[in-house]
Amino acid sequence: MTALLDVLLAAAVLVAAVATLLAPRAGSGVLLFLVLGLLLVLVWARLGAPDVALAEAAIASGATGALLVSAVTGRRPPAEPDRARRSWAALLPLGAAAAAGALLGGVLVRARRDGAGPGRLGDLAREADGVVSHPVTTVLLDLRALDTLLEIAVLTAAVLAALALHRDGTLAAVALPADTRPVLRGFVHLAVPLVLLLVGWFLVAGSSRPGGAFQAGALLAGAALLLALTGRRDLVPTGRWLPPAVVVGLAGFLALAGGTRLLAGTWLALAPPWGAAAVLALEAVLVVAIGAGLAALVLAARPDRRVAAPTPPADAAPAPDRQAPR
Amino acid sequence: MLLDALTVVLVTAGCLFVTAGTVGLLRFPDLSQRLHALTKADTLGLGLVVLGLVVQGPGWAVAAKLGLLWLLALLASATNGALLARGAAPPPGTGSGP
Amino acid sequence: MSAPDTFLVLGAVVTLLGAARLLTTRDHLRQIIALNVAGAGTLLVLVALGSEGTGTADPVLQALALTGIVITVAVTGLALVLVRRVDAAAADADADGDGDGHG
Repeated sequence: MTALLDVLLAAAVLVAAVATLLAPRAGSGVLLFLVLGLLLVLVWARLGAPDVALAEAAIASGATGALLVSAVTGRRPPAEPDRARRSWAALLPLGAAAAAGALLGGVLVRARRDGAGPGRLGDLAREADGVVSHPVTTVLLDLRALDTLLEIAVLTAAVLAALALHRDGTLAAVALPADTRPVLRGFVHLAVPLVLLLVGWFLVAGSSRPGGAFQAGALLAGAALLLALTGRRDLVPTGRWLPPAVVVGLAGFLALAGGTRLLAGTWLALAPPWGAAAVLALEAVLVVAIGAGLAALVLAARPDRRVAAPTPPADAAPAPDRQAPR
Repeated sequence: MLLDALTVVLVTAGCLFVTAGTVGLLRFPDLSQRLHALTKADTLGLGLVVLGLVVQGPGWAVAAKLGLLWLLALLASATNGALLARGAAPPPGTGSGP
Repeated sequence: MSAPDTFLVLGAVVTLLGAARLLTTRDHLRQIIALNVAGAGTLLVLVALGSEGTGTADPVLQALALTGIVITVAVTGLALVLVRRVDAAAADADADGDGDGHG
């Protein structure tokens, strides 16, 4: 019975993936990608990976979805239509890819059977002297603290690169039409406190059960976007406070690393008496940085307001209102 | 046993409503009719599924969470429906839409 | 076939489908979507390899999947900003009329 459900779920994912890839318009492709994300949440839950399920719902489906929807709504349809979409010539590479994928899947299944040993990598994580009891968070922060550090570094670098494409390196010049319809404002008044509550819960719960800084940060970004798009820009850092808010996570991580090196003699050695508190404090800082960064990425896809052209010198040619490097 | 039967009936009815809403979404001709099918039928379907699960007696905490889940889905669905309907046909004279 | 095996095959197929579409489409936005689909497929393979069908999956591989998700969203966000700039530049080039450049 459950095997039948698994096969049905897999078929649904496959159909959603093909429909996403072959959608006639980019907009429907984005929406089908959201559907694919929802189905994948079920797959993660079925595979016994609740942390990945939460991350998929909050980050991969939620934040990426917001990014893609924001990108597709402000976009002119491409000059050359994606023609010949349904022809056999276009389907041939996909068919070949599907066949190759099935073969690869067979190989992987064999490899998984042959390679399945008693020792799982995760058992090592449990035996390591963790200061938090949830194995996934232990792995993320204890064993792979360096990995998480680099992950934050990648996110920070991406956000700063996106900001660098805007005037002054902030989003202060980005036009945000405030949607002040009463229905939406009422929803925001109800939803934002709930989301903030959930952010706190994910943050605190991450040490003992599924949840953590990344999921909480994605939720925080959602709340920030709701506020920024309904006319409460003043509550969301978009101006000169944005770069510090984005960088604070990486800076906090580095400060903790340096502090542990000085005090305990090892990089990121989190000893039990104060390690748990340090991890929680670090995660709280990370949540702020991830939330600010993800929200900034979504808003950075919007163009800057055109500045009123500074009064040009009388003899100059009428300049375009922004410097457009060719 | 009786409760199990009740659960089966409620969850099945819920799934039927959700399916009907989806069929409406796909087959109805214009936006407002599609929203009508989607928001009402899906909310009712989800409510029936939640009720069917609560009948199983998972304890008050879980039941309250399921109920909260339904309320939040209700709120989001109603807001989305209203926003989409208003966004499709902005009343004249309200300035620039989204 | 157990559940992890099913999803292992599914992950391999989805990965290659996304990769094929990534290579065959010219539209930048579609390429980003295809990259995301392919990324989801690889994560499926990763987690299914560490899952036993019952209980929780291998925490190390789950953590790796989390890393993958975060990196994907960072890359996607930056790529979308760049696509916006490329589109704007192409539109400017078209508007200039001489049509000497394309995005």
